[in-house]
Amino acid sequence: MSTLDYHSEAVKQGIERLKLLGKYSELLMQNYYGAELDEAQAGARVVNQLLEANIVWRPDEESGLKLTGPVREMIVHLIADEQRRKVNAEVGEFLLNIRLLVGKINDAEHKGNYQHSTYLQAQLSQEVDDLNSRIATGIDSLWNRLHTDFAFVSTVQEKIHENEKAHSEVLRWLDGLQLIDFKELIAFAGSNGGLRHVLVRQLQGQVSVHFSSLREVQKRLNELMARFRQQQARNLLVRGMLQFFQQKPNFQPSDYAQRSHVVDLVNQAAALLPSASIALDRHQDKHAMQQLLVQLPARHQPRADLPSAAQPLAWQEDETILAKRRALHEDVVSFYLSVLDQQQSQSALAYLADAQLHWDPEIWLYQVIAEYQGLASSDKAAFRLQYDEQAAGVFNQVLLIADVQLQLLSEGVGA
Amino acid sequence: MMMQYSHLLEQLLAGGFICEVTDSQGFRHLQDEEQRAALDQYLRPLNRRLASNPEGTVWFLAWRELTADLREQLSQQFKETLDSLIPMLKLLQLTQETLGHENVLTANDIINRHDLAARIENNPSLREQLQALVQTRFFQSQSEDVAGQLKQVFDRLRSHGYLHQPHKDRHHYVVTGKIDYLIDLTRFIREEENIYIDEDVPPSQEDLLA
Repeated sequence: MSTLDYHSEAVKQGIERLKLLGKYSELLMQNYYGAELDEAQAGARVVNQLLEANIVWRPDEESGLKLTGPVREMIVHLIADEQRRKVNAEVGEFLLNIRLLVGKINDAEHKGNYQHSTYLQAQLSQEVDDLNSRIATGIDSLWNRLHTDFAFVSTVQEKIHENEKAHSEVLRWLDGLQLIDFKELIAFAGSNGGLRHVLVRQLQGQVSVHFSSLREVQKRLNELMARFRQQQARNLLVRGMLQFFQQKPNFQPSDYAQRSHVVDLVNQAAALLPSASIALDRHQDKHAMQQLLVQLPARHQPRADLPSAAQPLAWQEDETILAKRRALHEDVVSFYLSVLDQQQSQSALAYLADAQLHWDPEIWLYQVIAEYQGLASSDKAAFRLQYDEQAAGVFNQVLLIADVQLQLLSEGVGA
Repeated sequence: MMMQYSHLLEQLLAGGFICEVTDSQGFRHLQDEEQRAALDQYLRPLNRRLASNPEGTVWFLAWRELTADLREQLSQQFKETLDSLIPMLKLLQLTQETLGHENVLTANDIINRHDLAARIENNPSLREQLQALVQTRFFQSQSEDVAGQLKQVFDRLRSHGYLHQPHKDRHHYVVTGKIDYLIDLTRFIREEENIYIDEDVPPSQEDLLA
């Protein structure tokens, strides 16, 4: 600093020009906000001074004077906080306070007043927490309104309005969060580890969480808005159609099912009731079937000692059994007739074999004997049954009939 | 996979409407395009295919190829639906008014039958509206009292698939996605027949009472 030459031309010129800025500040700020610089009113001398100082310039012959780039940029920086406050008061205020605190902290550390610096850092940390909780509260309030579907207002129209309001709130927060420039904060923190932790690591994490919650809120608001609009349309439709039907009680729409293209809404296939039974032949289902069987409720066993009357025995002969029996009877009659025809005795089994009948020999013999027993006594006299029998064993005297011979008694039936 | 969704298929084949309320699992299954293609493949020999309302909130089966006979059946069915349309719209208005809802009933809304009955009971105008409603062919009830009439109305709504009763012994009913289908059909008729509805006038109390 001491090496700076206060009397050098450059320093003198700088001071001159800064004074110029101060002297015509009002004029310049008006120009900054788009007002034309009235050269006649300002006077040629002033205009020349400003042009010379490179504070204003003339883009082309016809146009008026404009602030030069560097001056415009400087003003932008000087009034940045106000701009931020316009976008989002909470974030704008926060950034302003942070800058002031960082300045004070650096100052205190520069003076070696570490106690004060620690105190200020705690204050800064408090600021960060404050901002966080304000954003979080804002988001919470938005969620609350979302969760209750804006129940605090009654009509859909009002809900749509509230939704729009909430939506602009979200946008305001999103714009606010975008104001937080982490490059700037990194620069603020400089080499101070504590500041870096609070301003960069902690805040960055929180801001990114807020960003994603706000995006989610925004998405949900849009969905809800779509639903509100849909509900509004539905209400209108139901009300309007009922009014219409009331005015035109005999209204009949056209038959949409007979059109070349039938919309799905009127194309509803007839109902079909599928039924299924267990496939007993599917081996792989055996286990499942067993399980089903096990699960069947046990059948109630009638108690054996309960007095019960026997049902009258109803003997229902199966048609096929009856037919078989008749055939057997007829075959046996044929055997008797054959003996009569041939006028000589014959073995029942031999006849069975000769006639190629398929009866079981035992049944056959039984029927031949039964037929003989069943003959009228006059007819019985014409025949004689000769049993061909053997003892069952050496020690068993039971006689087993091996065959029967049907013999003709000539004196019985006169030829 | 088919095994797992045989219930869904049966429901669809039986003429059921599948929405998130009636069968959330089945409905989720139907959100998958591949699974829908598989079901359609299966339904092909039955001359049926999956269909939904425009928003896809409710699914049902439609004929794949239409013959004269099937068109006749559809005409008949449409006529029946039309017969139920006005009573259904009136019912929607009645419940909306009774419950003091801002909106007409939509899928997922829960209605307590007892609560509804009590509110109608206490209001002569609502009682009259219900009385008129149960005299329509769609709802017809012989009952003299509000509770009995409402029970008949709810039974009809349930059997037509507009309401789902999660617990047989409780009086809570959930509105199903089939109501979306009915609304969409109403909207379709309105558009097809160029029916004019004055959209600028917000629904007022007088209109609701008209």
